[in-house]
This record gives sequence, C-alpha cells and structure tokens, in this order.
Amino acid sequence: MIRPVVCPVIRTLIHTLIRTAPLLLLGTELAAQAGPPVLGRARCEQTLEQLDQLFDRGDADAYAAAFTWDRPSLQQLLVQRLRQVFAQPARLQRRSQLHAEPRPFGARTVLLVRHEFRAGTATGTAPGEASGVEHSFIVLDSTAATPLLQIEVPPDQLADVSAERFTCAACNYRVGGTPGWLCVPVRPDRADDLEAVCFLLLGSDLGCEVAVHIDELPLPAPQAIEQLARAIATAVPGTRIGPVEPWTPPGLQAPLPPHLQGARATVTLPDGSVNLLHTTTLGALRHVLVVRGSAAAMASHKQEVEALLASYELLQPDAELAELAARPLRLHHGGVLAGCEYRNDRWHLCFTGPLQWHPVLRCTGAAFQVVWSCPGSSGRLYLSGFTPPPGLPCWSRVTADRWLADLCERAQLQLQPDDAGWLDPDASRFALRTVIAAPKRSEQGQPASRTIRLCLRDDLLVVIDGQVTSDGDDGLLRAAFTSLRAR
Amino acid sequence: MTGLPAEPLSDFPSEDEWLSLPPPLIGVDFVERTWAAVQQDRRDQADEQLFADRLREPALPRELLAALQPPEPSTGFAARTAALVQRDRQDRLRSLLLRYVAPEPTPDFVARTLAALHQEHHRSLVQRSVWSAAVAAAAAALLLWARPWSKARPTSLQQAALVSAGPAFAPAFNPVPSTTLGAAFGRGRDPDALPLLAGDGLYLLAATAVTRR
Repeated sequence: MIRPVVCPVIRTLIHTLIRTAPLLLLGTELAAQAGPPVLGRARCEQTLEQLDQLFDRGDADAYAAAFTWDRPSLQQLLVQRLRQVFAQPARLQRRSQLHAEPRPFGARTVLLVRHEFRAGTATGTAPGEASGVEHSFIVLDSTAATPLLQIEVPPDQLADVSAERFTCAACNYRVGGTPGWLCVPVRPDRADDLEAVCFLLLGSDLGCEVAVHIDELPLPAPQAIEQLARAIATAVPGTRIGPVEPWTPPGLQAPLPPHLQGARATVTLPDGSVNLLHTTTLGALRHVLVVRGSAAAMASHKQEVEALLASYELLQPDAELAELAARPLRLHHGGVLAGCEYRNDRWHLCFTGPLQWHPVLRCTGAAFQVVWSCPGSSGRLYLSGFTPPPGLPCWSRVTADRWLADLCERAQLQLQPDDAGWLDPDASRFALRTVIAAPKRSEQGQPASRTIRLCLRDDLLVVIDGQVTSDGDDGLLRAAFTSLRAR
Repeated sequence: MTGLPAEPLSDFPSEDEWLSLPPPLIGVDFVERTWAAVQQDRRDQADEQLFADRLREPALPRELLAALQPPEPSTGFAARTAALVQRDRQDRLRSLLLRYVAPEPTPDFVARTLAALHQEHHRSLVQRSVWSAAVAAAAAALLLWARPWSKARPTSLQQAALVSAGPAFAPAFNPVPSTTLGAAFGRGRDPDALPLLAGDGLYLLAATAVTRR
C-alpha cells in the first residue's frame, strides 16, 4: 500500500530536480564567480562600534581579546601601545568610522577606519577639548565579521599604493602587487627612517618590511646586512646570525647597474621566528627588505615570499649615484644646503649654521635633520624638524613640553628650572623656548650642559641643539641659534 | 830576542838607496785634484764655523721669536682632545666589532664535544649523586635570580623596539621594528647627539590632557 503512494512522490521529486538542475548549476557557478562573501557597511560599522566600546573601557587585554589574531607581532604591538596609553592620567574615548568602503581581500574584508580620540578624566566624566585622529586598517573575517588584525596607516601615503603595489619615484623603487600581500605604508617618524612600508600575507604570520635609508657614506651591501643583523642581535639576546651571502634581486633585468650590490642573511630569534634580511645598495642609497615570520609559515608560503621579493624593481637603474642619494632627501624632506645655509621650501624656513662648519643632511625619521660639525673640535649643531606626532592633528606648547621632558629623561638630562618659558611667535612665526639641560651624571670630556631651543608652529616643531667645548665656539653657536627665519 | 830577523833582508833597499830611487809616476791632474780637495776642506770648515756662529745668535729678533711662541692651552683644550681621542677610539672599536663574526662551531667540533660530555657523564655518575643536591640548590638559586632579569630581556623584535625607543616615543610601536633597531644602532655612532625620536601622539594626548584643563 505504501509503495504506490511513495513512488509518485519520488518521481515528482526527481522530475523537479531534473527541471531545476540548470538553474542550480547556474546559481553555483555564479556564486563561485562572486567569490567570498563581502561584509556590508552596516555589519562593519557594528563591529567598529563594539571595538570602540572595548577601547573606552581602558583595558588593553580585553580590547585585544576581541580579535582572532594570526599575527602575534601586531597583537603584541597593539597591546603594548594601549597599555602605555591607558596608564596615563586621562582616559581616552574613541569613535571610529569607515573612511572608505569595505574592501574584499580574499576571504577577508579590509576596512580603512578613521578613529577620533577625545580625552576625558580618569574618572570618566565629560570629555575634554583635547582630541586626536588616527587611521588604521582593520581586517575582518568576511564570514563572521570577526576582527583579525589592526594596523595604523597614514592615509596620505596610500596615494603611493596601487593594487597593493608601493611605488616611490624619489627613492627609485617599486615593490608588491603580488597575490595575498596587503600593502601598508608606515609613517617615517613611526619607522624612524626615511621611508618604510609593510606587506602582510593575510592568513599567515608572515610580513615583509621594506625600508629606504641614505647613508652619509656609501656602505657595502654585505656590511649593511651585517650591521642590521648585529643591531637585531644586540637588541634580542640569543639571536643567531647566518652567513652573509651575495644577493641579486630576482626582479631586476639584466644588465644590472654596475654599482649595484646585494646581500642577504638569515637571522633566527630565540623564539624560533625567522628574519630573512635582504639589501641592495646603489652608492649611499640603501633598500632593505626583511621577511619575517615563523619557520613553518616560511616553508608553507615559500612561493608567495619569492613572488614578493621578485616584485622588487628599480625604476631608474642607470641613474647617477649622486642623484640617487640626493633625490630622496630633497623630495621627502624638501631642503637643500647652500654653503652653511639650509633652506627648506616645503616647511618655508631657512637657517644659517656657523661659518666654516661642515653641514650634512642626515637621513632620519624626522621631517628633516641637518648637522653642522666644527672642524678640528667636537662642536656640533643639530637642526631637526618634527611633524605633529602620530595621532595628533597639530603641535601645542603643552605637547612639546611633555615631549621634551620625556626626551631629556631618556637622555639622562636634567632640565634647568630657570628658563623663561615660551615666547610668543616672532618674525619667524615660531613660538620659542630655550632651555638648558645638564647631564644627570657628568662624564669626563663632556660639556657641563647643552642648550636646546624649541621653535613651534602648529604644523612643525624645530629643535636646535648645540654642543661646544670652547668659549669661542659658544659665540658662533649663539649666533646660529637665532638665525631661523621664515621663507 | 826582539823577534827581528838576525840579518836585514838583502833585497830591501836602504834609506839612502830609497831616497835615490826614481820618483813614482804622478798623474797629470794629481796636483789639481789635491789642491781642490784642500780648498774644499777649508770651505767646509768655514761653513761649519759660520753655522756654529749662527747657532749662537738667533736668526730672528728675540722680540719676534717671543711673539711666535705657542699660546697657552685654552681651558677646554685637554677636555676637547680627550673627547676626540675617546670618540676616535669608540669609532675604531665599533668598526672592528662590526667586522667581527663569531665563528660557527663545525659539526666535527660539536660531535667531539658531545662525545666528551657523554664520556664525562658516565664517569661522573657516582660523583653526581654526591653533588646533585648542591647543584640543584645552586640551579634553583640561579633561576630565582635570573627570572626577573630574563623577563626584561626582549625575546621578539616588537619587544626590542619598545625597549630601544622607550614607551613614550613613536618608534616603540613600529610595525617594521627592524628600522627602529637599525636606527638606534646607527645613532650610537654619534653619542653626543640628543636621541631625537618622534613622540607617540596617543600617549602624549593621554599624558597631557589633564595639564590642558
């Protein structure tokens, strides 16, 4: 009795399946072509709101616990920074919003987020007037909208990124654009170098750090690699350094530039993570590529690593060495030397160093730095410019004072209490403060104190710092201190 | 006995005979050369005398010589010179250290060392039982001492960047920490310079918000 009833049902089902099969197949094909799911804007904003609430609680560990990290280094960085911030007297409150539409990236969604910070008191009462702004990439899992990582990104430097490829004409190179790697530029003052960019292989703990440096004197590539390896080994005891080998970037076309040198070495940290150091030098211009991550990830993503290294290329392989070294500093820092005078059109200032002292443009993470050296003695004069610190929209006297106090503490210097404080802006449009700092522990051969002058605008803090050991040079130094002019 | 021959040699001429011998042949320029040598000798003696006389009297007036005397060292001269020498020594030592690469032990060395340790291990089984308690106590004491110190030692690049830059400064939270470490290493070449690092904005905002009120 059952069979005659069941059979028509099954038959109907089979017929239905046969009739709808093309539609089902088409739907499956379309789904495959559409790729992984893309998170909607509302879902992303909901996640950001949850993260903001965690931030406002002032608990770094709770904030980090909201992420499903596959990259311990970035987790460590975030936790270290938030702990330091949350330990300060004022409690920060954060409001985040999408700065661009959510961007699918494989099985993930990349958000460019603008965070606005306001400072309240530690008791959590009304927010104060102080505020800050930062941008970051927050990567979400596209299925569950779980945050996977957060990394700071300067939005103005994203103009150098196209299809995850970073190009810098001033520094004469291009790198990236290979599948899987997310390109994240890094602020120079954060990197403490002329230029830096970070590539993250999402879904692994692999990263590649690319940096540009101009040496005062050309450094052979093997020596540069050895120096970097030594710097790491000095900072992380127990680091093992492998042999330095010659390296030819696989992406460079023959004939190679005659002055190009390349070297590489492997550095293994005590925690087992591996750092593959690579460098090329063209005279004083040095490009550094450091691939780092766990040994297991290195082995399983060897092709992706090789592809990224092969994407590194020089834009003008046959450029003059002198121009290669001078152009990055000129275009990134905006200043030139004319005799003992330094002129900077980007920051609209000029400064005259002591006559017959030897000036040198120095490559640091600052907006610019120039050093004048007195021939035949240890007298030095430093002129350094700093943009507002990462996260702050502009400088203020309070911020500059705190920064100077932290700096002197770090340098074991004691600020003399009798300085006159800030003077209002003069013709140079800088507010001025001059302080005397003395070493907490005086050593033989060192001057008893040093004079530091801060010159402050909203967009720039100029620090003039001098040190001499004879009275004659002291007069030259005082004259130079007052030579800062607006252009 | 004087040691002289008993009789003079008959073939050696006597004084008279010697004086009567014909004079030797003299070169045609003998007289000129001899006379020139005598005159040169006289001139040399005169020059030496003149030089000796000049040494007794200063070539320049005494007032002028006094004015040309080196000045007294300035107050900072010794300190400056010492600082320059010290810096030079530091630079040279640093460049030497940069070039120094600790040799890797060869596989043979490792194998021999392990074999020797293995042999020693067996030999000292009895001794170990005696010393084991003392060694364990010492190890425990060492661990207790080293534990807080080892916590301060960075084990990752991120920690090392934090220690190197200091928590108030932007490079401490650098996603490319190798540049922070490289810059710190380079900064060591100019120990007189202020360690100028950018501040961290969020930290400065939180640290100074109360001051602004």
